[in-house]
Amino acid sequence: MKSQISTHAETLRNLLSYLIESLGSYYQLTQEAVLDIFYGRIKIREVTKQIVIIGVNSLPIVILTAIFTGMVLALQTAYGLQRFGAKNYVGNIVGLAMTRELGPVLSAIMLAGRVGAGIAAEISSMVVSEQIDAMRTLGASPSAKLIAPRILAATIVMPLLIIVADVIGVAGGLLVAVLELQVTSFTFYRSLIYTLVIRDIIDGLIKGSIFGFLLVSIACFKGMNTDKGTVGVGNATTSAVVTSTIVIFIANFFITKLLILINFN
Amino acid sequence: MHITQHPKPIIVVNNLSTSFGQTIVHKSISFEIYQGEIVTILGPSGTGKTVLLKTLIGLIHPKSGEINVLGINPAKATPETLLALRKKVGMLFQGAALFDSLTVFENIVYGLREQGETNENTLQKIAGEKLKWVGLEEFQNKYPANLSGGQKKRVGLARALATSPQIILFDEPTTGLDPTTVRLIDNLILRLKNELNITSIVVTHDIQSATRISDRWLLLNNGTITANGPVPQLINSNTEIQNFINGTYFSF
Repeated sequence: MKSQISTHAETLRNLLSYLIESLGSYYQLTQEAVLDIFYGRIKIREVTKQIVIIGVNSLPIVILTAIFTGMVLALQTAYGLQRFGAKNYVGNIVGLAMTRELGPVLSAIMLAGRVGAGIAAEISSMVVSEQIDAMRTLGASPSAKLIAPRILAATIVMPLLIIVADVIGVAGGLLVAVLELQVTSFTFYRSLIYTLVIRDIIDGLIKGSIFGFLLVSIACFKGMNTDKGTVGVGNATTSAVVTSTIVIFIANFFITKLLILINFN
Repeated sequence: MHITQHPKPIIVVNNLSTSFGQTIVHKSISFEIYQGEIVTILGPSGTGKTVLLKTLIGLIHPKSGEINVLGINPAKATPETLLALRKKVGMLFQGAALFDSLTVFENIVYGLREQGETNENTLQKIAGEKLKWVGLEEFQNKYPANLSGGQKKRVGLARALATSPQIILFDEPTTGLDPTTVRLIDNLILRLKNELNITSIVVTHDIQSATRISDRWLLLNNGTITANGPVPQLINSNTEIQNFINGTYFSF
């Protein structure tokens, strides 16, 4: 019994030290990247290239996710609201949910899968094939060359993707409201405008920017800290997607709480 | 009276110990390397030969001990000093480590661009010279994916040579290559010494190649250097080396 307790204590201690070590390494990586950005050690051409890869190339998946989310949101809320004869309020619920919550979170999750996996696989392959070491021996900084441009691009482009997701999501909701629920477009619009304020949209964009920073920095971190071999590449990719998705969910709660506190003070 | 002049070592490693977590890789090893030498590091797999090369160029930090490469300690160097050292020390990685997304030309001039060279004519001239040196003039615009293993190694060597280094570190330069290409790479390493007076440190398991090119062998085993000396002397009289060559040497 005693030895069992000490084994559990040992496991817990190892887990805690691994967690603290990982957080320390992650902090170092992001700090270096942020300093690279602020000291202008990154190439604008690389940032624009990443904006295209992370942002423009993610548009189809974000649009598809947003339109169906908006549509199903309208269906579900109308289903609930018509019990109280309040079907006409579908516009404000779709608007609020899309801008404050679903637009940023779902876009971030989709990007964690598409972009995060890609970045983790690319960087971990470079680690395994010693390209990162080669880069260092040739006098280049992997942080300035690979990590900082990707983090900056994601932080800039995520709010833009969320604006698209918000508009498309609300349009999807409108489509279902008009065609399926017999709510007029004017009623939908009036209900939307009545509730939605600019702060709701801005809060969503702030969240998006933070999510963009988090998911790409986590993907870079997982890629840079891969084990050797092709198994390491696979593990890094899976771990990047899982970790960034979990972190997005956790961060979402705390950012929302913080933004609500700021808004009410 | 005849006075023997001892050349000054350009690499001095003193009581170097390296470890990863609980795993000890090197236990207080010491050696010196002189200008223009070709030194081959031999030893069973997993004894830290590559780690030693990477420690010399500051990619891995030792646990303790002193390293002096061209007057700089890579473990304690500032980023600027480390950059200055890396201009003088090139490395050819095991799989060549060429950047997949860049052409052969872009790979070769990568280090020069990082050092601030922007003149395209100069870059073209240097890349052309280095590719001619390794016999691949026609390959400037190809991508690494279109090269054979031997060609990749030669491009890797051209890239290491681009910054005109004084020392080149070779990590298994002939592994997985056919005998003709092995001979070609060996000749290139010998030409580095004879034509450019470049010091080479080679990690290899290829005894034939190591015998052909080396002035000196270091045998690394179980974290320590168990043999260090001129090749003919070691082959003739060192039992550790004889056992290693005959395959009767075990790493514990």
